[in-house]
Amino acid sequence: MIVALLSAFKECDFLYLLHETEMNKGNLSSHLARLEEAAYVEIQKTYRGKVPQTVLRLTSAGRKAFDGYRKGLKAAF
Amino acid sequence: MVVGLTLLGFALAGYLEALLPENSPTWMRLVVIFASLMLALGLAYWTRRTIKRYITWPRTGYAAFPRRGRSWWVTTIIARLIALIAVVSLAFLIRRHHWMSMSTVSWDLSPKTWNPRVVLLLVISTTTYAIWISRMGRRHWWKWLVLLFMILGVITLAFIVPGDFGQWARPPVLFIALLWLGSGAGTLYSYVRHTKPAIPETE
Repeated sequence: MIVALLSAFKECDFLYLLHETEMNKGNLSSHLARLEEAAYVEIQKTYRGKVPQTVLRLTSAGRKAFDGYRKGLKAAF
Repeated sequence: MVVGLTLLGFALAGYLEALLPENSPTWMRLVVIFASLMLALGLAYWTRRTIKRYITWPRTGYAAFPRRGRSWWVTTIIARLIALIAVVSLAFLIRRHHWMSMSTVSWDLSPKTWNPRVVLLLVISTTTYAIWISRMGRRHWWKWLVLLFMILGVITLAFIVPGDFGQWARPPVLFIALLWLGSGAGTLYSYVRHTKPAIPETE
């Protein structure tokens, strides 16, 4: 679900994913850590003014993997 | 609010243009109109960005759509060129056949003569607003009251404001612009009151 959401955007932040996935912070963080380990997601810690912000982007490997997954699903149906 | 600010630009352009002396050159009128519209559009753009940055994103989170591809740009440019050609052709057609020219339209503003421009202005503005609130403002029931006031206001202004098209078109445009602005401000106030920004991330 996280990769599907990220595939629709150029980038988004942690709060947006939190709202859309309705996960709790710990759960979402652990999923994102695994995706980052697999080099599917790029995580950038920055600031919006004085407020810390975590910006997330799907890498090209992540997009390729998601496209492959979508094609597989389409073929199955 | 963005639509209201844009319409305010049109109203401002009309009022400023009316302040110019009657024998002012066309380029001066165009500069005044262009400057008013640019000011209003710039303010609308800045307002939208500021609201997103300080009110919306702290509540919903931030997301940026990807840049559009070449095919989208090609399709958009072609569609807009076709629309421009259609509008210019229609304008030439109207001018050539003297449709809606000053001499053929009755300026008797009594209820028995329906001025087509009054009707057109009323239909376009109220239909647009009605479609918008039916799709986006269903929770805000008071927007239907705004629509009612818009209809009543435009009819009232159209029948009591004397003068030519340029003179009586300005008050309705200003009235509709202020209504849109007020409606947008009300929606923003309601949104800010019923939502809270998220606590800054602690991960």
